[in-house]
Amino acid sequence: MKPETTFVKHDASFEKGTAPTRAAVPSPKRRGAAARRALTPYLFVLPALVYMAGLLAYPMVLNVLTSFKDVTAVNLLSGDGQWVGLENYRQALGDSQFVDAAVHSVVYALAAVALQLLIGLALALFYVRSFPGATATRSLYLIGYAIPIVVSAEVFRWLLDGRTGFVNWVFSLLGLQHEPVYWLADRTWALPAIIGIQVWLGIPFAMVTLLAGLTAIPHSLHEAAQIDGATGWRRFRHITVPLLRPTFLAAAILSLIFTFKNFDLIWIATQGGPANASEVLPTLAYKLVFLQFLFGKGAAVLNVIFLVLLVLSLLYLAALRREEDHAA
Amino acid sequence: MNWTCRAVAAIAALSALTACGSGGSGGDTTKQDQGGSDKVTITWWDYFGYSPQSDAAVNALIKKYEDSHPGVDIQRTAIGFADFRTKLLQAAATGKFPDIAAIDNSDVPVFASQGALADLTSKMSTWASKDKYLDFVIKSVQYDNKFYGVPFRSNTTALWYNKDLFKAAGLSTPPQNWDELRADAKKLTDSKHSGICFSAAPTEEGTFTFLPMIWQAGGDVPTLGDQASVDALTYVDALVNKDKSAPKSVLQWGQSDVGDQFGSGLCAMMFNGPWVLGSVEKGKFEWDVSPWPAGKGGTASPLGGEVWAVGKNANVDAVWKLTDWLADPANSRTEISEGLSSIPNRKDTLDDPAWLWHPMVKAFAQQMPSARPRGAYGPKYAQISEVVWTMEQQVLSGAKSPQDAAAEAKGKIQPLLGSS
Repeated sequence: MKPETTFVKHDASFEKGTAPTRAAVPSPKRRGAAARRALTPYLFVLPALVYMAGLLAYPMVLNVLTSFKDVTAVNLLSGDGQWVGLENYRQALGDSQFVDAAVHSVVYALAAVALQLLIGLALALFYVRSFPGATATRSLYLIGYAIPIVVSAEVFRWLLDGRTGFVNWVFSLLGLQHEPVYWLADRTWALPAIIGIQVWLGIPFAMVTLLAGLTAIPHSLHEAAQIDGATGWRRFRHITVPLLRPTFLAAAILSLIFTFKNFDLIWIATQGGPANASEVLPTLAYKLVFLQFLFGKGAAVLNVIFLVLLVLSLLYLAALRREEDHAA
Repeated sequence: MNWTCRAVAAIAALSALTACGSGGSGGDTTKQDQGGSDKVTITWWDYFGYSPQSDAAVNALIKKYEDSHPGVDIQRTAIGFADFRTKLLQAAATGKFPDIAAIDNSDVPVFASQGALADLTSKMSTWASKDKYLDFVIKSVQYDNKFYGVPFRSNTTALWYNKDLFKAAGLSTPPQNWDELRADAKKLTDSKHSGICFSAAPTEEGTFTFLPMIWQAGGDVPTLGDQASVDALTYVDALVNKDKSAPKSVLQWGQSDVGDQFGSGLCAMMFNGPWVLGSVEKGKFEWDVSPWPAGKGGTASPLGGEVWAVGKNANVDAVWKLTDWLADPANSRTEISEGLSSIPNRKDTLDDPAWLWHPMVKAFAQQMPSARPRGAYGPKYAQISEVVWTMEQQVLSGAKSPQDAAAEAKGKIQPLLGSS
C-alpha cells in the first residue's frame, strides 16, 4: 500500500509543475498521457500480481477444485475424475483417522506454543538484564534455531530411543524409570514426545522475539515506577505485560502457524505412528496424496489446513494493524 | 518447507502443471541426425542415481548398448527415488511417459490401469527368454492377463544374523522355522541386544516386511481376517510385546534404520534386503544371511526390484530390442548383479557362480523362488499397503488385539481388490 501512495504524491507534484502549459484543453495526446500516468502504478505492481496469481492463486484454486473431484492415480491420466461435490470432505470429516489427526494437530499446536512461549518469556526476562556472558549465552540459543529440522529430528530420535536413548538413561539414573519407555513408538507418549521436541525447536524464536519486545520498553518507565515504590511484580504486571502484549500476540500467532503446518518433524520422528497416535493433518494429507494417490481426499485435508492457517493469518494481520494504530 | 512451498509442490503433483521433468518425452522417437540417416532416440528414466556405483552401472549399460547399436541414442534422466513416482504419474497424466522407465515391480498395475503403458503381450508371448525367468518375476510384469513390462532386476529380503552373538548365545545354525526363530530371538535378547529387528513403520517399508509373515502363516491379502492373518499378527506381537525380543522402536524404524541397528551390533538378527549391505559391513563382526524361517505355509519373501515399463507412445520395436539386449546376462551381468546389488531372478542364473558378487547372494538366491510380487493385488496396492501396515501397528502398539485388527483390515481390504 505504501509504495502506491508515494507514487500518487510524486505524480501530483509533477502535475503541479507542468499544469500551466498542459492543462488548458485535454487533447487526445494529453488524455493518452494521463491514462498512461494512471496506469503506471499498476504496471509497477503487475509483476508481483502475476507472480501471486501464478504461484499462489492458481494452485490454491486448483486445489479447491481437486478437492471436489474424485481424482486418484487411476483416473489422473484420463482426467475424468468425477465431480463429487462435498463427498471428499464428507468422507474426510467422517473418517476417524481425520478426526484423530485434527485433534492431534490442535493439541500439538496449542500445547507446544503455550509451553514454548512460557519458557521463552522466562528466558527473555532473564536475558533482558545485563550480566557477564549474557550476550554470549543468549546467542547460543540461536544455534538450535539454525539447525535444520531434519537434523534435530534425527538427533531426537536417537535421544528418545527406548534402548539406547539418552533421555531414558537420565531418567533411570535419577531412579524415575524402571521399564524403558519407547517414547516415539509408544501410543501414549508419541504425541507428548513430539510436543516436547517442538517446544525445544520453538523456544529460540519465542525468546528472541519477546526479548526484542522487552528491550523496546523504555527503561525510564521502570525507573519512574520504582521511584513511585512499585515492586518487581507490580512493575511486571502493569508495565511489562501491557507493553509486551502486541509482541507476545504476534509471537503466539506466528508460532501457531509454524507449528500447525509442521510436517518434517513428525514425519521424521514417527511418520504419524504408532497406529496414527501422532498423526497430524499435514502428515495425513501427505500420506493421502503421495503414498496412496488419493488426490481428491488429500486436497480436501489440505484445504482444511489452509482454512485454519488463513484464519490464523487474518488474526495476525488484525493484531499487527491494531499495534500500528496504537503506535500512530 | 513453508506452507506455500508445500502447497505449490502438492498442487503441482496433483495437476501436473510443472515443467520440472526435463528432456524425457515419449511420442516422436525418431529424429534426423546430421548425416541424414535415421537415428532412434530412446528416452530412459530411472532412479539408480542413488549411489555413484549404481549410477555408473546404468551409464555403463547405456554406453555399451549405444556403442554396439550406432543407430540408437539413449537419453537417460536419473530422478531421485522420492520424486520418481510422482514424476512418472505426472508424465503419464500429460501423455509424456518416457519410452522406457525402470519402475518398481509393484507399480506395474498402477500405470497399466491408467493406460500409460504399451501392451507388450505379442512380444512377450513369443520371447525366448520369457521362460528363463522365475514364475513370480514374470507374473510381476502382468496386469489383467496382459504383459505391460519386461523383467529387469530383482531382489528380496531374508534373515541376516550376527554370528558372533549367535556363538555367545550358544547357537550354531540360523532358525529354520517360526518356533526356532522365536526361541532363538529370546535367547539372543539381553539388556544390550535385541534378538530380532525389522521394520514395522507406518509406510510401505512396514508392509514390505510384514507381508511375507502373512504368506508364511498360510494367509494372503485377499483373505485378511482369516486365522492365518491373526496368527501372523499374534506372532509379531509375541516377538515385540510378550518376549520383548524386538524393541518397540520397530514401529518407527525403516529398513535403513534396521540395517544401522544390526550393523552397530545391537540386533542379533534382522529381516532385510541386500541394499543394507553397506551398513552391515561397517560392523566388526561375523555375519551371514539365511532364508526366512518357514511358518505353517512354508517360506515366502517379497519380490523387490524394478521392471521395464514401456510408454504407450514409444517406438516399441526399438525399445523391445533394447530390453531384449538388457535381459541377456552376457550383456548386462556385471552391471545388474554387482553394480545394482541385485539377486539373480532367472532359473539359469540362480546357481551361476558368476552371479555371486558377494557371498550373501547365495542365501538370497535360495529365497528368490519363493519371492512373491505385490503387484498381483492390483492398481490400488498403495491403499492396500496402508491397510496392512495400520493393522500391524495397531497390534504392536497395543491399540487392538490381533483378532480385532485383522477383522477391521478385512472390512477395508475388500473394496480395494480387483482391477479398477
